[in-house]
Formats: sequence, C-alpha cells, structure tokens
Amino acid sequence: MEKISNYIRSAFNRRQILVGIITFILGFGLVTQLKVQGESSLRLSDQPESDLTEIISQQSVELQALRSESTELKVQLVGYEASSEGNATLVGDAKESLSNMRTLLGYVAVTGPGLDLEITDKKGFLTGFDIRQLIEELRSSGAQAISVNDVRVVVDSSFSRKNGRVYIDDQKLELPYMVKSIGKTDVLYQSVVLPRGIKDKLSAFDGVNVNIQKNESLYIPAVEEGILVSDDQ
Amino acid sequence: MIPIFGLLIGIIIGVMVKVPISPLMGRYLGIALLAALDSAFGGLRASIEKKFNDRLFIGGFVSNTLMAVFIVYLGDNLGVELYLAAVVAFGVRLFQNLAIIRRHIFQARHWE
Repeated sequence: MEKISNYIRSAFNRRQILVGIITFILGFGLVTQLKVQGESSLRLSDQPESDLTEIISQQSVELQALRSESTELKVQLVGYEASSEGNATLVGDAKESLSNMRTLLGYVAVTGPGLDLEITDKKGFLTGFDIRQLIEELRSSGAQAISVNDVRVVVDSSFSRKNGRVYIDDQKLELPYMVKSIGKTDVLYQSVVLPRGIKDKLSAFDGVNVNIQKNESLYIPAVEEGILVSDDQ
Repeated sequence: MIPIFGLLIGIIIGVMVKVPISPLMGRYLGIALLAALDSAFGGLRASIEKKFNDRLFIGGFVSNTLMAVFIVYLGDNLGVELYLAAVVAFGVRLFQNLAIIRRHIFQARHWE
C-alpha cells in the first residue's frame, strides 16, 4: 500500500504533470497538423507555383483531348441521328405501302367515307361484265376498297353469269346489288354520275335503277378466309 | 506515466476536435511541432540519462518552439527559406537524440 501511494504521489508531482501537459500539447499538435496537411494537400492554393503550372498544362491538355472527343462524339451523334431518321422514314414508308397493299389486296377490313350504290335489276339484264365495268370505274376513281353485297372485290375477283344470275368468285349475288366503295366520296360520286358515265349506261337497261348515296362511314369487310388461296401473312 | 497519458489524451482530443488552421499557419505549426518533438526526445534522453530537469525541459520546449516559428516568420519576410535551417537543425538533433536513446536502451539491457 505504501509503495502504491508513494508511486501515485511521485507520479502526480509537479514535474510529471508539466511534462504531461507538454506531451498533451505535442500529441494534439501532431494530430492537428496531420489533419491540416491531409486537407491542404488537396487545395490548389497551397500548391507551389511550379506544380500549379504543371497542373494547368496537364488540365489544358486534358481539356483539348476532351474537346476533340466531344466533337467526334457530336459528329457520330449527328451521323446516327441522320441514319436513324433515314431508317424511320424507310420503315414508315415500308409500313405505309404494306398497309396500302393489304388494303388493296383486301386482307384488312376498311371503314371510311364512300359511296353506297344500290342497283336494282328487275328483269335480270345486268351481267358480270356490267358490274365489272362499274367496279373498274370506281377503282380508277381511287376507290381503296370495294365490295358487292358485302363480298370484298379484290385483284383476282371474277364476275360471271350463270342461269341469268351474276356470280362473284362463284358466289351468287342476290338482288339488289349493293356496291360499296371507300375513297374520296366526291370523286367517286362524280365518276359514277358523269353524263354518259356508268350510271347512265346501267340505267339505260330496262328495269335497272341505280340509287346512289354518299355515306360518311362505310364498312367493307376483308376477303373471306375461304376465298384466299394463300395468305403469306 | 502522466506524459504518456498526456500524449494519448492530446491525440484523442486532436482527432475529435477540428481546429481551423489556415495553410500558412499549418506551416508554422509544422516547424513548431518539429521543435517540440526535438525537445520531447531530448527530454526522454535526459530522463534515461537521469539528468532530466523539468525547468530545462519546459524552457527548452517553449523556447525551441517559439524560436522555430520565429525563424520561419523571419525567413518568410526576408524571402529566404530559413525554415529549412530549422528543419535541418531539429531533424538532425532528433535523429541524434534517437540514436543516443537507442544506445542507452541497448546498454541497459546489455544487448551491446
């Protein structure tokens, strides 16, 4: 016990405490300096002039490189944009022409404004040829889709006459003939009612009457599945 | 014991407390620290040699530190890099003290 208290007393004498204070200052200062140096090495304002010059030249070289890279990338971007626009146009054109083709081929049902013709033929004078003439007239006036008695008329549709009745693709057409055509209504109308046109020609037959109506929303069905020989789609 | 505790407490407080010191002051502090380290090792050497004198130690610590800072200040004002002189002087003394302390320890343990 005496030894320990002596030790404590000697340990806490004035000399020891002063030295302790000094080492405290030393430790505190060391750590502070280390921290300050760690921070300041990152600060540009603390760098010597020669280092700063080097840093600036390095930075300007880097800047040059980045600028030229950016220019290159811009050129590339413009190239890509142009080519993607070109692609989009090509794809758009292709899609449009494809859908036009599908419409013309009758693969898709069509709705739109057009003409609604009702042809009565009380005495059965009309032949497939007459109907075909009407359809050709409508087609040449820009009809996108035509149907007769809700049967879609397409490229390879044929009209024939058997036993005094008109057939379309071996389907018998009932009277009256209902001819629908989708397109520019006015153009279609004018081409039909043209003096000495198809309406006059058909109406010349005894018992034949052509009733024309403009319709804002006609529906023309697609080609019936059975009629299609092959559908590559 | 107390000096070691003092050192440890100083380090801990230094780590925890953030003292705002400008880079210019940092330079002075660095030299002052070098001087203080030199004094500390000198004191260690003296205590091993049983010649430790607290007044001498504290006086040396304070005067060394202040002189070092003054030399740096003077050098900055004269345009002469005088702080190098302080660095070299204190650095050399530090290593000398270290070498002497090492010898004393070796002698005390009969390794030599």
